[in-house]
Amino acid sequence: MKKTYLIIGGVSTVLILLAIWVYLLIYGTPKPVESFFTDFSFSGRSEVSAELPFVPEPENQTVDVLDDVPLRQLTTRAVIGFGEYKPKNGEKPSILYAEAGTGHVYTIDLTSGVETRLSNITITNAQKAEFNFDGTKVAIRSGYGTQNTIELLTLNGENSATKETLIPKMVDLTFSTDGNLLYSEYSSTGLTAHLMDTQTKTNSNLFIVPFQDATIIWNKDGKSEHYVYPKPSAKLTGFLYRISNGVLLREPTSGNGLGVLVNNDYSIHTITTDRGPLSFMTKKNGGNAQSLPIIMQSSKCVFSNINTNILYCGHEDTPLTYEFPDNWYKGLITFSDKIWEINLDKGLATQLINPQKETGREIDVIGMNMSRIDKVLYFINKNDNTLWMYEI
Amino acid sequence: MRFTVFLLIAILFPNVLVFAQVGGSISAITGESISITLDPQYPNPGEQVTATIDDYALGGSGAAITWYFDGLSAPAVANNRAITFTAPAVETPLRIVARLRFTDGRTIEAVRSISPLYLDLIIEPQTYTPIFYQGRALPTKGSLVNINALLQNKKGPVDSTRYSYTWNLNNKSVYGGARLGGNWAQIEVPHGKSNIVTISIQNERGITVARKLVAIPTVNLETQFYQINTLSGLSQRAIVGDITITGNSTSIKAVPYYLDSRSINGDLFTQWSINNLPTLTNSPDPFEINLEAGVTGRAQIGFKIHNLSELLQSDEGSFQVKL
Repeated sequence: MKKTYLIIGGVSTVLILLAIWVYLLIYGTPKPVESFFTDFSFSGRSEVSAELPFVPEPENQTVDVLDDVPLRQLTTRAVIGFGEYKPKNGEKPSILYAEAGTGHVYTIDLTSGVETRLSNITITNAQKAEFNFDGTKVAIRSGYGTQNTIELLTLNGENSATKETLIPKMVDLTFSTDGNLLYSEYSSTGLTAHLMDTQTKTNSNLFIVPFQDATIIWNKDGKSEHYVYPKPSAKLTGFLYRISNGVLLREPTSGNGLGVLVNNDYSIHTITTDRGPLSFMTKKNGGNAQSLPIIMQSSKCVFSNINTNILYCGHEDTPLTYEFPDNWYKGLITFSDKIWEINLDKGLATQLINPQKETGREIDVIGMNMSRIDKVLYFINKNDNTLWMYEI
Repeated sequence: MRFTVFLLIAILFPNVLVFAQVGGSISAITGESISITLDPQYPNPGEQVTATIDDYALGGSGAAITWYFDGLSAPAVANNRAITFTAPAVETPLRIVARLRFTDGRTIEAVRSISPLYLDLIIEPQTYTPIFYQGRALPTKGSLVNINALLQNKKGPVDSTRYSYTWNLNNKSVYGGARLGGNWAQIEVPHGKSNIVTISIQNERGITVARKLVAIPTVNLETQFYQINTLSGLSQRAIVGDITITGNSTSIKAVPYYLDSRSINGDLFTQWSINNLPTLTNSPDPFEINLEAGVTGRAQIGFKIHNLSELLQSDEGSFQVKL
């Protein structure tokens, strides 16, 4: 008797569920949605400006660098800056990176894959980090516009960094190869560029830029020259200036959406026309600008450190409109880049790898950087700000 | 320099390439009734320039025309009333002569000399973009725009205190007249269709050395939505169409691109809505909303913004949330 009731109950339940499923299949989801299935409520919290809670991280994680594949994801954390350095007793170089939001600094030993946290000093809203060339210091910027703060961390080993706050409100900053800070700060109608001795904290003037929305290509090694141009926009004209002995000299390069990449021998520039972006190459020792077959976005490309004719770029062959690069900066379009080697002298472009094919991930390359001996490309995926490496 | 000009002419008119050297016999006997007009009138170095003979009063339509650049004739463009050439390098003089020979043997010449300087107008709109945005902001109606007129010779930017700058917006003087050292201007973008800024620069002798015209592009206020990561902050990938909430909740930021910077902490009306029903967020940041997941389904999240000080600066946008 009891068994019969159970069977009847079970069959009834199955039939009711089946009826609901058939109803939903035929008539769709009941309306309005929120009345039945959705409950959006508002907690009233604001994470953006809040102090970030300290979340204990497992120490000494291991990154898979031993797997014999050339393209590897180095971090799952969002990264705001990275740098390669070679430890004095190390065979392979290590990579340093700073985490977005917290400013925590980690190092990954590229031989063993061991990741170690070097700084647990939390810098709220950390947005940009620049490492010096021997991996002993990192400058981290937080805050917005003229309200920013620059913290200079000295890295002394695992979780033992020291911090000092630098006085200037730096708009842009980077380290020179000799370990000093190159930076710009706002003036009333433009920017002033300085060099700060990181030991003595003394400043010397480098040059003045008569506009504020500037992109500076820093001369880090003293062998080249600084360049500056207004930040790109497809609707506004940009002009390229070379800084020679502290004076702006106009280069014959201009156009809407102007973006530039230079080394000692070449200048690459991209402009936006009514039909979309176009890239050009100009030899510095003279010659006219020559059209390039692929669009080179400056943050997606890096010159070889050994062969000045060679350029490495992330690039997806896809039609772009007259709204580029503005729509890309806004994140309205993203790319699934392939990695290319471009020989400017021979006019050859060779695809090195298709990351989507190899990893199944769409990688929108930014911050393209080259190891000092041209062995490894490092870059950030703009889609999630993770750090990647590609062994050439 | 001469070679450059000839090379250009050779490229432009390869079919009629005959060079002829003209000695010092050309004299500048510019008549009152004939002249050369240039477009642009004060070209930048390397800029394409159109030179046109203006002989309206003379009626020289039947005359044979020979063009000379720094004394060298350009047969490839003979008898053209308008020609195009490339302006020389910065502060490199170029003398352009158009000689008209009439059927009765009379000749008359028009002469024009240029020595280009770079005049760059750098436009810096004072409107909002988020911190990750690597480009330049754009102007909206009623917003402020800073413009720097950067005049440069071979040695770099000139000492602006030795030059007078006259700024006009839609043919109306911005500062009431010329200003010594006034290479920087701030204008409020007008509401009409036209936003033409002209700058004219005179040296200490009152001679115009450069003039330029630029149209200020205007755009509408544009709202885009981004997810906020608790740890790393604002995503750099805009929400296009819809998003799926995978965790218990997500925070979304509405970013008002090109909002007048003066109004960011000022007189703004903002409103979030869920399925078109206005919603209070309780958040101290009016541009942020936190959404907590229910069981399943969809919802349309909307956001409106009005700058109450400038009614043309308003926008509304929406996106779908899936669970």
